[in-house]
Amino acid sequence: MTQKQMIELVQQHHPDIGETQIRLWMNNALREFCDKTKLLKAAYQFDTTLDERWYGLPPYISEVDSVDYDGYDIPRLVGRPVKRDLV
Amino acid sequence: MAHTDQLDYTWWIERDSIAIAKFSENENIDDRFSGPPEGKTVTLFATKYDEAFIPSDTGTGIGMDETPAIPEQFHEALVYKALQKGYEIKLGRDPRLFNVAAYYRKGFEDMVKDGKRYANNERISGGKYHIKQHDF
Repeated sequence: MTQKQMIELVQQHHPDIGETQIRLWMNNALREFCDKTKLLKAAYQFDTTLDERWYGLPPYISEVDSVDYDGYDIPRLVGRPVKRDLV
Repeated sequence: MAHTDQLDYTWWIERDSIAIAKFSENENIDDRFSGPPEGKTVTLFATKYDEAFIPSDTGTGIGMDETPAIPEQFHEALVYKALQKGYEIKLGRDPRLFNVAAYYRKGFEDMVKDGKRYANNERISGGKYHIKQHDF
């Protein structure tokens, strides 16, 4: 179903509500749906920089399932490092 | 399996970022996490959000004549949620619409349940697992 068809369906029930408001609700619904179902998966790659620990996550990622480092699956740290840095 | 240096690495998440570091358990507490070296490829396998609906077909997002990436059978869920919200804002004028709003809310939640089931099949991820019984 295209966005246009979805908006038309909603407007059959709510002819007084504009497209912008309906789009806002549908965007929130789509985010909630993806968050709860974990239906969409993606792989994202980047290269490391010397001694740089932290790398920003792209905004479209909701949850990291697993990580490969240099071709090998590496474990997630349980808890937090005792001594933390922001490097 | 032979030991490879890569297996000494670990990752964790904080403040919308991912940390990659070498973990050396036997080092003193200040040097336990180090690295990484330059130019190593990190691959994240992740759950993602769909693109957002946008008003036209020109920008980045789902245009008016485009469809979301979630499977077709779940598109109706988005309509249900918008219908629910539409009825909820009219409750002040007509409280009887509560049941109509609740109907569409349930429709959305049912589709979320079906979506979870769909995501848990072998096609999308590791999927179902079962616990094997053992004799001791």
